[in-house]
Amino acid sequence: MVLENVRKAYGHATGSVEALKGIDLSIERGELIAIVGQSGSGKSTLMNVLGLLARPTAGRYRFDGEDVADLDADRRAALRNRSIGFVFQSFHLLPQMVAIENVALPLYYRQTPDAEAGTLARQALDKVGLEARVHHKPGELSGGQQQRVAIARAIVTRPQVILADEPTGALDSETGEEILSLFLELNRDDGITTIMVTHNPEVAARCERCLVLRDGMLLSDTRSFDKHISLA
Amino acid sequence: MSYWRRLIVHAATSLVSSPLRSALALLGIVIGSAAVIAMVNIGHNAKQAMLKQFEGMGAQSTTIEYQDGPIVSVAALLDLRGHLHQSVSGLEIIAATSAGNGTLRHRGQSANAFVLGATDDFFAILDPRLRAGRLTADLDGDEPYAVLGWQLYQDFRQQGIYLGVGDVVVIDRTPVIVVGILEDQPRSLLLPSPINNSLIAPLESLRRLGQDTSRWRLMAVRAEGVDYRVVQEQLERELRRLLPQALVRISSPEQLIENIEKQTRLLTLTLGAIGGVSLLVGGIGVMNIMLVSVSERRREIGLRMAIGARVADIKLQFLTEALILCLAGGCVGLVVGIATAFGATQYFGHPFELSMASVVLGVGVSTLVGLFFGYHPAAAAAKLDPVDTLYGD
Repeated sequence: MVLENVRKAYGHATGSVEALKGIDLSIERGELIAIVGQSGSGKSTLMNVLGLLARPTAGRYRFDGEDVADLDADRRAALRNRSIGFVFQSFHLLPQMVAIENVALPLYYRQTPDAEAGTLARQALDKVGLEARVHHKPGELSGGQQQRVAIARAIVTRPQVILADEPTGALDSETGEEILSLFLELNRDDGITTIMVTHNPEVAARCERCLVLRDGMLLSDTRSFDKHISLA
Repeated sequence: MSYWRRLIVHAATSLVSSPLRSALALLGIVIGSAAVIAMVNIGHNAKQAMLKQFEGMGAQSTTIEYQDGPIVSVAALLDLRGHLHQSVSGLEIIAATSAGNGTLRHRGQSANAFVLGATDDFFAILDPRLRAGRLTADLDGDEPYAVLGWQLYQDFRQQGIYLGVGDVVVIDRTPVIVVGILEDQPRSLLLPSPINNSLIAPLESLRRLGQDTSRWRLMAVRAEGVDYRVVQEQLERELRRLLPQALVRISSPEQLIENIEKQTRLLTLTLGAIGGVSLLVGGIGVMNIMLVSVSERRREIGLRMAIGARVADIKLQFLTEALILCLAGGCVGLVVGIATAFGATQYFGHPFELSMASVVLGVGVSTLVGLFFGYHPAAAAAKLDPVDTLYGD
């Protein structure tokens, strides 16, 4: 994922506000990245742009070598479906469906046949350790379990990237730690590029690369080469 | 294939998960489609009931009814009949009748009766069943013979008198011999008098009975395939020539049936439109409730878009929900509507016949209402920007 001088402005009645003011960024496959910043720093906007949910108003964004400006809304949706998994702070599970149906939702949108979707969803739930909760509704699950379901949903299409927005924000520290370990495991074992937005410095410290944003600009881009020590 | 099945399952699950809201939306459609179906069925059954009065007599008759002008004598009437047989083509039978009323007396008891003078070919048209005795015939001439209608027989029976063949009854002041008693005859608008309450005598004996020919009629039966309009035209022409000063009314059941059908069609359309307005209101209700639903499910919509739902997927999802609501409402409304129409027909004493058109109309229009009023909320949902909805906590 390569961003070149990306800007993003949101229009308002009194004049537009530029949330991103010229970001240059290059992300390789398999990296584990934390994006930190105060609220208003533009970190959520950067996530939206990276996740193809928002179009840059200026600059260029190439995903897997392809310039996304050429893609219309439907093509971008297809690309998200195929290559990007989302995890949110408030889980965003559909309450009227059981876990396995929630997980299978991205597969439904790519017209995967029912039987195959069921198998893939089960495998994903297995991977996050929830094989025993396949037919539970979100209301019957704890916060940590719900986030696991959300993670299972994010990985069910075998995406190249996971984008997580404050994934531990709604969880207590112990559960948060479990979730974080899960992310690290997925990144290490399956090579999924993992990008987390967080305001928690401890979380940031566990990532091998940390991007700090302030006022819509990249303040620093530091890598920690002691990856193994961070995981301890 | 499973995309469509999943679509329906997802939609149904969402609807069921907010039962109160779905029930409210459903209610509007149920009432609307029940109204349409009830109205159309009631109109249909009203028409059937009206048409039933023409049943059994064979719609192949044309009647000339005297309205005004110089009164013709029995002889002149029979003469006219003869002329018409010769000058108008396509007529198989022409019966002459004249109706009046009087009081029937026997052994101190009495009953009100119609007195119908008729040529014997009238019985060929009427085709009655005899309870006892025989029918009168032209050969009886002006003999004082008569046939008794079933209700008259019952009227006397209730007063303790059992009339039989050969009994003498007095009509006004004239004695008459009963030669036959009829079985119960179905009523028909085409007949000159209610047969059950009539004393039928040969036309030529009318004067003796103290009746005149002031209410005469000629009933003609047309041959197979002869158009009533052609016959009516010819009859009009001949009557103008033969009885220039007489005012007559020439009519055929087809004409009346056509008129009835025209009027009831208008009635049914009007009733259906009223029901349709109700359905429209129900549709507006569905639209409003779906808009609320979309507004409350913004996060769900944003999420679906984030994980790969296209604009079309979101639109389809909400359209399907609206469609399921309206189809379900249409089916429940079908049952309610039919029950209502059934109740109405029972109240009026008509037999109930289901109008298939109403079923198709009710369910079909419900579906269209669902599609039409569901479109706007679906489009609104598809226009949402996931960025706005996903981070609002």
